[in-house]
Amino acid sequence: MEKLLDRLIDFAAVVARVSAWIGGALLTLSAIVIGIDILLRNTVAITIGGANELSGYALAVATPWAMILAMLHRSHVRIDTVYTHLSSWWRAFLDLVGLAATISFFALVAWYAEGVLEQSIDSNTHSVSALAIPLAIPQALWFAGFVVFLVVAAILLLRAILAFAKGDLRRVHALVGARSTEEELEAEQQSLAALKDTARPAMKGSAT
Amino acid sequence: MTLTAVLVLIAILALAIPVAAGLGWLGLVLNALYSPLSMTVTAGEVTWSTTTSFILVAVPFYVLLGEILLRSGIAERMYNAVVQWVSWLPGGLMHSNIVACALFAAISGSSVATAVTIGTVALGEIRKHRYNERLFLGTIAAGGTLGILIPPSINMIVYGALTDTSIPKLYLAGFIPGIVLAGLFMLTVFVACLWRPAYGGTPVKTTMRDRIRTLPDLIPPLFIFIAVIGSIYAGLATATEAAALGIIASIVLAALQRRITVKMMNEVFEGTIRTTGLIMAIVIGAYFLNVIITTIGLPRQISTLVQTLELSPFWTLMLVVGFYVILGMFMETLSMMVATIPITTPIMIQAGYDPVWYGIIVVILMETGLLTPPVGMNLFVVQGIRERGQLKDVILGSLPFVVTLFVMLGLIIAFPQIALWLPGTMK
Repeated sequence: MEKLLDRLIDFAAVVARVSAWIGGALLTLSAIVIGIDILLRNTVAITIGGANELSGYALAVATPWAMILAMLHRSHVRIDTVYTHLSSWWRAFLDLVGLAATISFFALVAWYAEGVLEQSIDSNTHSVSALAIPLAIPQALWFAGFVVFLVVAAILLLRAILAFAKGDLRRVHALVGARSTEEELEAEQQSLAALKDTARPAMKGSAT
Repeated sequence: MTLTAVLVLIAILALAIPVAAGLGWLGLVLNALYSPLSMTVTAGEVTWSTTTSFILVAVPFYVLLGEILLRSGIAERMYNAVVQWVSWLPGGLMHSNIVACALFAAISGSSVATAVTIGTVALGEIRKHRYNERLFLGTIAAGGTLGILIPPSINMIVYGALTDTSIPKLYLAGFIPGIVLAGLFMLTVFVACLWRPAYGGTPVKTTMRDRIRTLPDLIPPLFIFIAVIGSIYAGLATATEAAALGIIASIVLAALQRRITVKMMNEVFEGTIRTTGLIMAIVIGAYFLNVIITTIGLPRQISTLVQTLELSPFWTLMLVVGFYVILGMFMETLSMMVATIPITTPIMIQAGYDPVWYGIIVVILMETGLLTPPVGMNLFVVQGIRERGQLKDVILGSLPFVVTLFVMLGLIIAFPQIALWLPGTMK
């Protein structure tokens, strides 16, 4: 059971990374199109049109998928003023409560998101702009993101509960605990250091 | 109703429930207790309209811009150039820290990103020049907070989106206070070094030739600043569109530096998406909560409550300032903003204050929150980069700058034009 769950979590991490790539690329692309649109608009008075609307869809679709990555990185913001002073058992317990609260609230959001999607399909709604996008397309991807988010969260919760039941509090923390600032920075610096090795030397001569 | 809301919020936060879900659950509890008509059905529609909002597209855009800048090496070269120009002042590199933070703040929308970027470059220099370590650390933690005051600013976008205030106006309103505050920070270092000359360390040797040689390294940040803020000021672009221009400019610059690799873009995308995920999750929770509290009339009730105190506008402001100073000690700033702005802004507007001006007051209070223990993100960040010694050093070193922030707050309250003059000149 644990092994299966661990494998599913690894798989979810791959999905999250791939969707981060797609989401990041989509946002970058929409930024570039919007930028070109402004340049054209203010120089030769031509507008591509619709770029702003599409970037809105890019954000909406990227949001739930981005939440998956944030969850797997344990980056979701938690107020840990009290938390850090508790015993590791209580901390692990609150980790589980927090995840359960996340799942229940976003299950509600997803439930009504499905309603929004269903309505767009039933009444064949198109956006009011010149593009007249059938809203069901971005909304389906958006809703799917919430569903996957909930599935991944449920897998994490189940795995963490099993670890908690066995008294493996370290494992609970590694799965769903609140990341301390030190952990956060360490990860950031590692990624920067890794980049430096590949990039050419930044600067000849130092500050002094 | 107000008391219940406050108690439930405190309980949820004390239990370290993720803020996004916590705000959502506060909404659900208030909805169940006080709403004549269940509003949960709005959760889908509100989330769709929020996450497609073009104003909020600015959030991932500025995060993306920051990620590209962080990985492009612009900051390192910029810091080295700044050192050449300002380190002759008593206090040496500590002035460079503040000026470099202010410059980086002008292209970045986040205080934490500013402190991380400049801190990583600067911290190696403490021992080399025998600075007073605490004050040196303080300059980075405090300088970093300029990130959200000097435009662009992610916190201003959130404030503008939640209160329907013009983000371009907020940006311009933050500009002069940002420069004044950077100046006051430098003055703080200057005074400390006059009082205790040993704090200032050994001076950095530069020549005019070195200064001229490093000058081109200041062009990239200037270029991005003009693309982003210039286009807003000229009325050519909205805050979101300006971010798009900034992204193009930063990609071009990173490409010229040959920093763009598949690996680098991968890191940029992952970092952007992760931060976007955590911010948007909180935004979803906050907007849902907003619908509920508006339906049950919570802001009106609190407003009336404040009115019964019969405070003058000035003392109402002092009440709000005190509230944020205390809350800022315990809460992370973005969560604090989304949870309280929809309540405090109507109170301040009713008391006759300008929403743009109040936005700047809030941002300065958030900067204070970043520096006040036990929870102050910039303190943690600087300590995290330093990797030795105690957090206490950073806290004590930042303390003089907290005082400076209060002086700044007083200046803007006494002379609102510091904030409001520049946006007033825009058409």
